[in-house]
Amino acid sequence: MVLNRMTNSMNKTSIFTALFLSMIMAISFTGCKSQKKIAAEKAQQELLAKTNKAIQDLEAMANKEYSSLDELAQDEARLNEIKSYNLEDATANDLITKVEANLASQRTALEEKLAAEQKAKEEAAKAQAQEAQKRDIYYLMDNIQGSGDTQDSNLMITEALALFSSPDVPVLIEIYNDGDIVDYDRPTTAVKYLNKLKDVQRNPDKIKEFKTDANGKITELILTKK
Amino acid sequence: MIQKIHKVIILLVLSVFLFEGNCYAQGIGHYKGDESKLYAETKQFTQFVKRFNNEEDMNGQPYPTGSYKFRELSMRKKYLEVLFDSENASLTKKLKKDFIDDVTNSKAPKFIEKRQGGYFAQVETRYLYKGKNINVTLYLRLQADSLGYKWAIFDVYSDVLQGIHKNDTSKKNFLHPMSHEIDFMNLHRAFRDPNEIEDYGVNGYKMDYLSVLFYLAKSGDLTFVTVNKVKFHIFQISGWYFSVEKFERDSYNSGWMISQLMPLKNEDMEVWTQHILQKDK
Amino acid sequence: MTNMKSIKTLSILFLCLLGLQVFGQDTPKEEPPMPPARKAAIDSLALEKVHDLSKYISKIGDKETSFSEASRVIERALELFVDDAQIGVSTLGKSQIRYFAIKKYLERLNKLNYKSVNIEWFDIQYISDLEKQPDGKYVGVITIYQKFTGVTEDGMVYKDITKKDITIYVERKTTQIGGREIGFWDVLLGDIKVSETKKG
Repeated sequence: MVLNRMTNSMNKTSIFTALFLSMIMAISFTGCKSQKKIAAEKAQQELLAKTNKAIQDLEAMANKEYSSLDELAQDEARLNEIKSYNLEDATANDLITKVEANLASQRTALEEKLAAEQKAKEEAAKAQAQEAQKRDIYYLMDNIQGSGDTQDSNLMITEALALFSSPDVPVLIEIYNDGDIVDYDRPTTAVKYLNKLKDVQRNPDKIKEFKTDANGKITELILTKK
Repeated sequence: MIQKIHKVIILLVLSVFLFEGNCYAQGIGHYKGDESKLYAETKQFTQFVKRFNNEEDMNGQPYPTGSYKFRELSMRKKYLEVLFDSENASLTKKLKKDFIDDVTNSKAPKFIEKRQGGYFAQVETRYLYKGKNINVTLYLRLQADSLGYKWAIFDVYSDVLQGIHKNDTSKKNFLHPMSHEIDFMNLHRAFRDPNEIEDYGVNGYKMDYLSVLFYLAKSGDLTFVTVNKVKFHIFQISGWYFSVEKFERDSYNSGWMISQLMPLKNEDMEVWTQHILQKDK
Repeated sequence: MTNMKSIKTLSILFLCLLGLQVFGQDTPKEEPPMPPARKAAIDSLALEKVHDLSKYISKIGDKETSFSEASRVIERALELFVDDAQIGVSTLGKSQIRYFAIKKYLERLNKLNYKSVNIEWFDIQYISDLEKQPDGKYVGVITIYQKFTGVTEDGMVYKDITKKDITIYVERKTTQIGGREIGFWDVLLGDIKVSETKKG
């Protein structure tokens, strides 16, 4: 357009000037074209770098094992970032699939592990509480035989019976356990067992485990021969 | 029959001859203090067998499975030495030595196996028979039955029981050979005198006294009173017979011990057994 | 002659048959033996029952024990036994055994009303093997020695040392407890032979 207008308005003598101008234009035009190319190449390089970095990160994540949820979350974010690049690289896309699978399975495993750890912790606390309770029960039972006086013993039996949900709660005494076979004595009841301690003046058998109801009362007592 | 009686007499004489000699004092000697005699005592027939075979330690604890001590012969000799009634002069030093040497022979040691038969118990009991005390000897043996074992009476002897059926062999009663023609009406005569009823049985007929004992108990004529004594007869050790009895005395030599011992050839075993069962009376 | 010969043959045959009857053994139905540790556990359980019994006996014989308490203890003591168990007592110098039903024996002990009863155990006992009987239950005998001292109201002291051969019956049973199947050994005492070994 400029060139046309210039051609129309300018006289022939101006042709040289026009030529000169067009030369400059041509030169300048040529200069403009090579800058674009540079920019494109740069973008290309950046993409390549981005892709390579993504591949590198993905490769790191493909078989990685995670010990914390934070670490896992970080990598999940990174994966999402990479996915948002919409890379058209086959290697990268393969890796994305792999990493997605790994992260998902790692998340499941880690969550399970953490839950188990939590449960173990709770159980340990519970076991500790049970051990304390066992000591209390044993102490009460041991008092019965220690008393030596019938009336005192009877009072202690009443006291110990209060720990049980009923006087007829089953009491099992393990006499043999080889891991395969478990043998017990004939099952007895709380009241019979406590009375026997009084009658035969013997130390109670060791408490192995016990079960309680919602009120914390013993519903089953398992003892074992020391 | 006469030959058999002769054989028994010979065996008896032989045994008396063999048993002659001085008794020789024994003692376990390993224990001290008040309870040592109780340790030494052979407390059960079970323990007699275990000591005889050397299957338990001095405290009566069975050797652990696979222990080299189980049935080991030198310790066994020591056990065997204390398993004889030391107050019985007929158990001579030589007789005991011969026996111990034989059963502990390292090439062919002999043990008592409790489940292989070859021994039985003689139990002296007392019953009331028609209001009178009578002595009855029961013979029992261990018998496999169903899921386990039991002691079962296999024979019985009592002077009274056997006496009931003792018959004067010189007086022979019989049903004459034409009895059939009178419809055996003379059976009436046969049963009129029960003392001679056996005469009417077939020749060679044998009384089964165990059935008699059971019948009398069922009929109420016989009631059990008590056990007086128990004795074991052991024929299991080949070449020997011995009896085991309980000696209750305040001594290191007490409990279940060998009360009689004699060499016995296989061919004489049967006769000797019949003698013990009092079949030759 | 022929007759004599045949009688002889017959009698020999008869003796042989008798011999078979005396010595014959049916083939035992052997089971794998119980592991020694398991047998030891049962032994000590049985021994514990025997200890319990002697504690009950002390209590029953003691004048300090009230009538109601003694009745309760007698009931508990009887729970240790099979039905119809007896105590057979033989005294020094006499060979015969006198028989008592366990219940009668315990009730009599209670009526004797000793001022005090003391039962000392000798530190020796002998436990037989456990043998299976035809019904499949195991049976064994525990031998113990005890010194009994009873002091009467007027200060008379009665002492004796006895050997006790105690029958034990052992049966493996199962039961349901809390929804689980529990295997237990039912250990019960049976006849007891008491032999006086020494006057205190």
